[in-house]
Amino acid sequence: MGLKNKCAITGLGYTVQGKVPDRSAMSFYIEAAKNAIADAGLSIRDIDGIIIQPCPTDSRITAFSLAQDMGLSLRFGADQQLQGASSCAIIQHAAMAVDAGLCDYCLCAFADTSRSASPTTGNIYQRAMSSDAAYGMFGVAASYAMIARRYTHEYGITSRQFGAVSVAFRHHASLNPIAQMRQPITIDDHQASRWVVEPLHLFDCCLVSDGGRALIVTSAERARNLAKSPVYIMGMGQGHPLSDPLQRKTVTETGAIESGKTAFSMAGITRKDIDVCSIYDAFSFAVPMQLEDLGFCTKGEGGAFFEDGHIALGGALPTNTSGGLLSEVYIQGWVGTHEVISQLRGDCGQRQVPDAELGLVTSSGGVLSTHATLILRR
Amino acid sequence: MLQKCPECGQYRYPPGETCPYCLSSNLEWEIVNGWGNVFSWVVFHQVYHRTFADDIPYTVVLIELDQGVRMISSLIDCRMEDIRIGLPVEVVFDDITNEISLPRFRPRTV
Ligand SMILES: [Zn+2]
Repeated sequence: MGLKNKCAITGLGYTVQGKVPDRSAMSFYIEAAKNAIADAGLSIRDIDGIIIQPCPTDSRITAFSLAQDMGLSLRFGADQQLQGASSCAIIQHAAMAVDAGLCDYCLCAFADTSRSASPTTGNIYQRAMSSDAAYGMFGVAASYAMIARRYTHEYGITSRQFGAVSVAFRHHASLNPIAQMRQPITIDDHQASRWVVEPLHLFDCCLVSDGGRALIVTSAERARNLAKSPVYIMGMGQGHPLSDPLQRKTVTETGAIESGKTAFSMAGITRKDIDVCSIYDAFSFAVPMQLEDLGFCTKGEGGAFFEDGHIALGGALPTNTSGGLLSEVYIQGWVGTHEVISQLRGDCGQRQVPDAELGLVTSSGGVLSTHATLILRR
Repeated sequence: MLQKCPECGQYRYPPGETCPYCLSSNLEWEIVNGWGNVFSWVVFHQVYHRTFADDIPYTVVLIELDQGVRMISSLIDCRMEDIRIGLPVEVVFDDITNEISLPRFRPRTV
């Protein structure tokens, strides 16, 4: 059905990441693009399509300004903004464009300089989002905290269970040489970390980072003749319930329900078949919530699922094996796509999931407002 | 006052130009009783804006009005340890200037 196995991802591009002062966002887009092209064994002129996720700190950058700076003339280009969900959604869009014959090699890229840009005014993730600021309501964390409070209230999930997520991902990061935070933590460390917006502790919140990521989508056929073994796109889906989650009838269910359903139906596999997984972890509690919505456990069981070690390396569903947004780096949804693709290629060294064949990535934007899911296979 | 759609009877908040239920652009304002309950609440421990620096830690509440819409606000006349989800509240208007008053909420006694 649909685009199953018709397109593949090749060429992964990374940059230096973490706290990287004095770098323009454009320089990260280009460094990531250059590395992705080299990794695929392509030449720059092979790229005939570009989709970017716009940069949070530099709105001047578009697919076409990137093409300009790379000296490329394109057959296909787009800027696609689903915030955190952009990575998976852009890969879907690229696959559609390739399958439709609009381009052969579609470069997908993103960069952020939020860690180093405008430190005196606070980063963009901390600003007022509406007139609610009159009540002292600022930043993304507070809206997530409103949902977290409901989640504990409706399902009896505890802050220690949120902590189990952070502890597991920090352990994964300790095995990842490029992770920002590699010092292992315990549940007690999590509980002792300061409140940011209660009920969220500091260790429930993702990092803020500088860096970029890129990858290339092409047809399954073309991908077979390139430098790295292809990772095929088996299933895809999106789900975007009301974009203001605080106005939804229930605030503890997300668009991952719909995006997961569509992706699994295209792929024709079951939850049990997934070997490695990435869930958008801007805040710890959102991981069990989305695992429930994707059907890996029933609603309200997500917290226990973590405490039981299912999602740690060695468990039944190793999740966010790079350390994720909580401990590796915050380059939005691209952290998840790159890690699952690396796992399926067998490139993850000490944190490699043995014989990983099928992977799932779900990314989420806004405040659990937009969701996109990919099912990938090696 | 809340915006209400005369065509399908739904309330909307925050105010906008169109009814999201039937896309009517013919919205009217209706005076409501200002009753609701605490749907969720958070406590700010980190300073996001210096205006609120002296208030830390302070609470922000999400109120579900009896009409079904939810709004961000603050709770007055209530100790932090007494806040709970489901707490019945009523609106009070806090006059910030001669022109602007902010709707806040306090626990309902009746
Ligand atoms: Zn209407």
